[in-house]
Amino acid sequence: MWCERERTGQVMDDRDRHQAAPPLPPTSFYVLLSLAAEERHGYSIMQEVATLTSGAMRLWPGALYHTIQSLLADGLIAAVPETAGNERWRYYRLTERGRLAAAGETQRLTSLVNLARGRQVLPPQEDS
Amino acid sequence: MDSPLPPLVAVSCAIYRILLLAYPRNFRREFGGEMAQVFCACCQDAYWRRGIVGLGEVCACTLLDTVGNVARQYALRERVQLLALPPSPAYGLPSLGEANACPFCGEEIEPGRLRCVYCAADLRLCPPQRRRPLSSSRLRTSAGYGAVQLATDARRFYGRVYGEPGRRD
Repeated sequence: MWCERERTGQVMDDRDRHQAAPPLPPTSFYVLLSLAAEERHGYSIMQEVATLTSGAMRLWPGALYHTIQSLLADGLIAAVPETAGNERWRYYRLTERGRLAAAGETQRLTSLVNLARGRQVLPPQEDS
Repeated sequence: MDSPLPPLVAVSCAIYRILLLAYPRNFRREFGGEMAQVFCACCQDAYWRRGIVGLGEVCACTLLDTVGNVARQYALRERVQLLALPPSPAYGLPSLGEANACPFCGEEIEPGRLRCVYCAADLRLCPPQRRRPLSSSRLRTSAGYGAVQLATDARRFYGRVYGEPGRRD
């Protein structure tokens, strides 16, 4: 699809790119979700991920900073410049690109759930 | 947070700081301090909540996490270095007249070699900017591998590809 559109001269915007991008690893997705509401430092991200998954996923320092490193390299999160009050911890924030990536991943998972419902793997959703 | 750490937590943090030395230097420089902070915070939290059992659990999980992620970081570093290599006629392709010097010992490298025969350095892991062509003066004065050797190699190479030059005429 990418090649076809590039050949025909259609320009892909960021939203298209993230919809066509490969799935995010679960750890990266949870880190993006934890940063969606506010800027956080490493320990706070770790705690938030544990809360979001009800303790099912614990990110220990090695895995956490490996994920942060790859997200920084992809430009999905950014380090917040140090402020006078927060000298002890480095804070991270979600970039616009990261927000689009998280939205793309959420959409992908939603369509997967809908597919599972269509195949009756999951019970149909009740209208509230 | 400013209160002194319990001795067990302080010892665990000190051991973790030593463990961090296993990570590649760049990664350690970038994230080492933060990782130590996060680990200390985890240890303190676990110790106050569940005592020694909680602290032991955190230490065991972190040890496993460290072993796995150190290996992952080294694998990543190697992959990045290999991908960063520019196409060079001296590595992988035989080319004549483009003799290269080993960036570590300065000795001549035969085209196509991935390891220096003199110092056994892995040439694929050499940063591109450190590679340099063998200078003409070094080529002239090199005792082991001089112009005569190059000419011999040239004859051998072209002989392999096109047949012996003497016999072709």
